[in-house]
Amino acid sequence: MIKNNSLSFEEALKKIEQILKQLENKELDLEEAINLYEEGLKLIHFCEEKLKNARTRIEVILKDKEGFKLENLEKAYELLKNGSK
Amino acid sequence: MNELEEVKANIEEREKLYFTVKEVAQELKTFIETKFPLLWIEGEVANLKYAHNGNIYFNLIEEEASLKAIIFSYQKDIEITPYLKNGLKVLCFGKLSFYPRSGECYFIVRRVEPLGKGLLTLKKEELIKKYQPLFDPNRKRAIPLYPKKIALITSIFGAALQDFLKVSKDRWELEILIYPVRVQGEGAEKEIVQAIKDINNCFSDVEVIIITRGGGSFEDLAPFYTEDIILGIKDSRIPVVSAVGHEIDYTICDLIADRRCATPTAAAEEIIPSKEDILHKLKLYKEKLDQLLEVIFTKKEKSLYEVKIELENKNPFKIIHHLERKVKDYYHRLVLETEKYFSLKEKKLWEIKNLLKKRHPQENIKFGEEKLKFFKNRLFYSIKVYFIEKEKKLENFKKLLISLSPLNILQRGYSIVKSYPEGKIIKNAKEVKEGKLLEVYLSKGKLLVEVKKVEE
Repeated sequence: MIKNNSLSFEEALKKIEQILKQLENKELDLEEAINLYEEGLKLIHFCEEKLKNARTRIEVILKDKEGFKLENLEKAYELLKNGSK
Repeated sequence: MNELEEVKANIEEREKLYFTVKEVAQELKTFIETKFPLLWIEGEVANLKYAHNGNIYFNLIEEEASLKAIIFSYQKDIEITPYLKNGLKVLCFGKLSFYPRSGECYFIVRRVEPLGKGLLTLKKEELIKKYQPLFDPNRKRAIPLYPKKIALITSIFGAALQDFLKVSKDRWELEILIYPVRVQGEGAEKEIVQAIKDINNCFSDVEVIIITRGGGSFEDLAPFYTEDIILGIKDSRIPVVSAVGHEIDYTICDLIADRRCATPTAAAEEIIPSKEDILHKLKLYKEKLDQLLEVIFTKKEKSLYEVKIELENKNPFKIIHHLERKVKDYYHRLVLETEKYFSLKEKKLWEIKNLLKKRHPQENIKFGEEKLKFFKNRLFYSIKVYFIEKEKKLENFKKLLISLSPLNILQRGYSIVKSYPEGKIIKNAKEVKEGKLLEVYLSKGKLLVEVKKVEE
């Protein structure tokens, strides 16, 4: 079955699509169909949960002589204000 | 007198006044250079040549007229020079110069502007031609559908960034790195290319790079029409999306990128999956899942039902019952057929019996007897009728006879006279003569008389 932690959203979605495709075969064994159905439901639930918590994080890459560092947008804005980027 | 002769006459008549070559050349140079200081000339480029010393030579032509032109190597930073080609219509700015040494007049070009197409279009065409294979759609890298980390190369102060972030906020579980660069002006393309390199090298978990800026004048967009941009994007391992400039006009950056979006907003919408959309999609998947299982269930139910029917059809009791019914049917049919047969035979027998009965001799005798009796009766009756008839006729004759008898008439007083002895009935007086004897028959008895007189 599914190990939620190891599965990416994309993989889960792909798996759901595969399951749908498999279920399109009407000759499928009933037990197998039910198993697929249950797995599909679990995967959908998994994806929904992942989406509900979806957030966007924004960081700005700043380059100096030492290399790169990441800053949040406001701070980067302040730092760069004097520049022209 | 024509012109030639006039010239001849002048030569002959006058004292020979002449210029030296140098003098004429100097005159021409002064004349040309003062008459035509800086000016614009419109024409078509022809005989384009790049000299070893770096100068560019070409002719500006218009129909039958032609003018030699030079771009000196020290002026080669004129932007258009790489795009000059024969046939290109241009507007050149510069001054005319006469070279006494070669006796030629040159147009010293300081600025060139293409006519018709803009410079950027020209650059674009040239670059596309040069890097044709790199624009092949088959070369384009696929953009991940559900990226977790993307990098934005843009100006941190631009409206493009604001537009992009507005759409992308909490749209998806996503990390957005912003690499600030200048997006217009001299050298901006170098910064962009460096950004692409840095992201590829140091932020390798970035799945998509988006280069974006808002619309602007052609000059503003110039960095996105450069060779650097083409090569920078080509060398990126991470797929690159371009959302630069106007919706209608494709920059070189748009063309070389793996995907082009019309605006920063469109880029955010197209590249970052929408939570809402996917949730909706998942809902549809759920519905489809239900439907598909339903279909399979229905199908299995149907199969089960079919098997059940088949099993029922093979039930031994049912078979026996069926056979029983068949036997019963046969029995009924047998009885029916037998009855039918018997009744047929009976009918036939009865017919034969009747026939036989009709042909029995006693019957014949009886029939003959009856016939005989009938004839006998008829005969008897006929004879009787005959006799009666005859008797009746006789009677009638008798009566007639009686009525006709002369005696009857005599009784009424009449008498019959006959000659005597002849016995001939006398009807006329002439027949007799006087003295004749006559017999007179009376009703009773007769008289013998003599004729005394005859009267007529």
